[in-house]
Amino acid sequence: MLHLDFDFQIEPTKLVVVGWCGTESLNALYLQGDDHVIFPTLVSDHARRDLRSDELRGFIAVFDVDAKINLLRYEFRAEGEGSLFPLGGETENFELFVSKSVDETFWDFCLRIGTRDISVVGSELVSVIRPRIKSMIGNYAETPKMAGGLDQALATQANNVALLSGWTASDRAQTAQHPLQRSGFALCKNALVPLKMHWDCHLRPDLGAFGDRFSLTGSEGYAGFVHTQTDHGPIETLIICARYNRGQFVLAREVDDVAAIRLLAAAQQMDEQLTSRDFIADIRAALRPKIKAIELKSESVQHKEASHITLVLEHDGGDHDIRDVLRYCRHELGHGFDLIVIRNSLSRALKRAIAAFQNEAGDRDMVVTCFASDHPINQWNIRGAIVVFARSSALVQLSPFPEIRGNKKARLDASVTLHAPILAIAEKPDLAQLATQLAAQRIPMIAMVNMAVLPSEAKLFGGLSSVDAQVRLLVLSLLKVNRAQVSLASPVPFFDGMAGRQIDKTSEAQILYDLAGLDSEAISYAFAKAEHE
Amino acid sequence: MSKVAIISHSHPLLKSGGGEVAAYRQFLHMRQQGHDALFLGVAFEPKTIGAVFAPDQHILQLGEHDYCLRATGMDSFTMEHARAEDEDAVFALLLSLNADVYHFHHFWNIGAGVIRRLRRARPDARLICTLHELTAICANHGQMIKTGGRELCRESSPLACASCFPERNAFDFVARKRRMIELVEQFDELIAPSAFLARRFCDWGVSARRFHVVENGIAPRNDVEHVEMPPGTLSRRFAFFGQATPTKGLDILVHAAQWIAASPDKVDLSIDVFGVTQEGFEEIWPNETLPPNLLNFHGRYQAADAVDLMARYGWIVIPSVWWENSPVVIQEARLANSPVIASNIGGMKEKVEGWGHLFEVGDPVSLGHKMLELAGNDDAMEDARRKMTAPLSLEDYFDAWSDIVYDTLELKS
Repeated sequence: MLHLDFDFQIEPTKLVVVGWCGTESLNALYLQGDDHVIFPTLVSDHARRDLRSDELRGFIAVFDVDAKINLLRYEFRAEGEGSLFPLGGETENFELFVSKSVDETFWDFCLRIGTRDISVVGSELVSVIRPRIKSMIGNYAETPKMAGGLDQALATQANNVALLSGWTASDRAQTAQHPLQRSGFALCKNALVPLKMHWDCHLRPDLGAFGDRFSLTGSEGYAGFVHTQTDHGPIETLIICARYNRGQFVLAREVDDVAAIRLLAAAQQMDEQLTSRDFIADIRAALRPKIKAIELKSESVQHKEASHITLVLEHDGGDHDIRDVLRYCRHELGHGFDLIVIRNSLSRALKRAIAAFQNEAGDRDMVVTCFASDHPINQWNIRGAIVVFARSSALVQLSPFPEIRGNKKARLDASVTLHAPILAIAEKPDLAQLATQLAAQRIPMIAMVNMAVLPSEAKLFGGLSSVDAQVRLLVLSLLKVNRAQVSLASPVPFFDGMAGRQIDKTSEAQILYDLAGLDSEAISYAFAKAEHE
Repeated sequence: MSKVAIISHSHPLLKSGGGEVAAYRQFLHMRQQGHDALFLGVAFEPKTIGAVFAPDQHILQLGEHDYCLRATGMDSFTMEHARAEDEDAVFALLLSLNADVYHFHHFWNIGAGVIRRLRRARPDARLICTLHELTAICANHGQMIKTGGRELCRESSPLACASCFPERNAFDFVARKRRMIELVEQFDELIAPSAFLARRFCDWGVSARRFHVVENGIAPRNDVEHVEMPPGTLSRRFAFFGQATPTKGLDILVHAAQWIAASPDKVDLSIDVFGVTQEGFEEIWPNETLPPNLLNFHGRYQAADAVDLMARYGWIVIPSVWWENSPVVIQEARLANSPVIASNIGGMKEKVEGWGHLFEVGDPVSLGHKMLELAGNDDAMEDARRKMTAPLSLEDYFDAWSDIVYDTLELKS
């Protein structure tokens, strides 16, 4: 018994035939031409309850066909079956398939999209299938032997990236002959794009309640990721398909469009419980901003020695401790300076401590401002051109001022002191290694930079969202053209002021995002290694 | 004649502790000797402030040249005023004293910023500081014992301190140490009442050359009445003088008494506790069983009566479980000529060296053994009494102080 429901060709070299037959015929399907037989590259079976049978009698057969052959001269057959079916192979049949096929068949089709056996590309095809996919939206599904959930679906459209996470559980330990099959894909405006899935890699101790029904390992969670091409269009919906034994389900969720840093933060949060390390690496690679060296002004427009100094402080100590930091800087610089604190706002304790410093120093001329950490550094409102940028913990522990004083007299536009204790072991640290570390890590540093080298374009920093990363990019750019002096701080015990501090989620996400941006080998090679080899 | 301002973190007429009492004695002695001295103590307890200060009052005169400043609250971790205007006010006050010598006993409630600014404003003045404990080194009330227990701490470091204070990180302690070292450097001379304390500061990073070890002065007593008792009686009488704070180790003494009561070698002895009531003890250590007929709680006593009370006992027990510096109790015991049994650490060990008896700190069995060994041992008691020396008198203290403060002939003249 053989029956053809639909046949269609939605890829130039693939014919999809959908129908049902006796289970004995599933392995005997073929296309018969005049003197030519084509066997399927895939036969995916599924239950067809509309046939009042639990047996796996439904099928989707995929045939590789030459783009030049005339399918009208072929018939669809099964060995040992008398029935034969002429082929149409028209795209219009796809519309019929989408609108008329039973759920089991359609879901099986979806599963094969995720496994890359079938492709659906092109806005016309997608517009055909979109309504039915949207009709499947749901975050939870179960069959007698399987259940699953889709917990989050996030996308950053600007980067063509989406991720999802959820879980599946089954009693697969008991029936090995029917493997659990799962896949995922993204519904985009112009294509259905398979997801890169990491199954059973996410710790989900919260699923214990299913323990009496399913065979749980504790790692039922999955994570999926897709980095689409620009011509795929916006990512709309993420879909998970699962099939086990005679049961099937589909989960689908519209994506929440979020900023890249939030998506990265979500990925990072998941990564802490993932047994696969590839997932976060994929995300980071996909989200990595397109960083390139800043085109610096060719000559410093302002003579540095005469310039007013602005201390830009990422204050990572207790609020009251800022007074000590400022006093130390004033003592070491021997004169006053303006202050920028990298905070959204100054707390009362910070204001008091700064006021106490001004009182003690008798410095009424000091301009105190604060800027959020994502404020472009070339748009700080500063008097003069020289900026000393540091975290407080670095400033007070690394004693950078002799270096700063020395380099202030030199012609270099940037002087950077880094705390890299392992590199400091070497007699003569490799500058390329130093630059690589500077690019790859948020290592403690004190940077004195002549800001006059910066053009005033708004989008200078390739999406970097933290001051620290922007300054590092600036230093790397200066280093590339030999206009920066990088030195290692003497190896001393060093304690990071951020240790153990609660930082808000946005700042954390910014840091993660910028690290993803700056950690690329491209940076270290493009900015440093090639220059100094 | 130079003008001397003696400044203490507390005023002993409002709240008395070893440091402020020593400062006040120095002041009274100098006034008595006709020196131009004034005293400035600080009231910091809200209850006391409410009782003696009007809402808008900041300075209270308690006697001739004797002043009390109303504190505005200071975190001893930062050792700075929270508000710049409070610091300005204290700085202006100190400046207005126009002293030639500013002698600070402790700097809490005065503030690191005030002292730095005073140093800069008065480079000609002599700034002296007596360090009465280890607050600069240790954020745990300067006691150098680990938080959450009574483990002794031997070295302050960012790592060790951060593990004591989980709410802070190591860098907080880096910053604190820098501030404290800078503060200590403002003083021309540093006085430590014990070599132990000076050593701790030197180990921490302060130059040994800056320290003078001079015990706090105390008025000599030639009128102490020693009660005649039959042989073997006085040496069976033990006493504790102090508060019920956990670091004073009263529980160690009580445990020792329990051990003695249960010991087959038990001998007749008595232990009198001054400064703590039985209720007060039970409030802090509710689960302790007091051995019958061994311990007598007497509650509060007047500081002026301490020496006469001590003279009635053969042994004064000092079971402190922190280092102590230069305990007043030992000075008073020396005035009373009553030998001391003390924990074998820090200032206690140093101050009873050559005549006192030591036991393992925090070890009630060690203390119990020592008490059994000494109970009724008149020879040991007399031997210790013979070897005991009188504590430094106020006069001798002043001489030593003068040598330190006026360390040039010009200044002395």
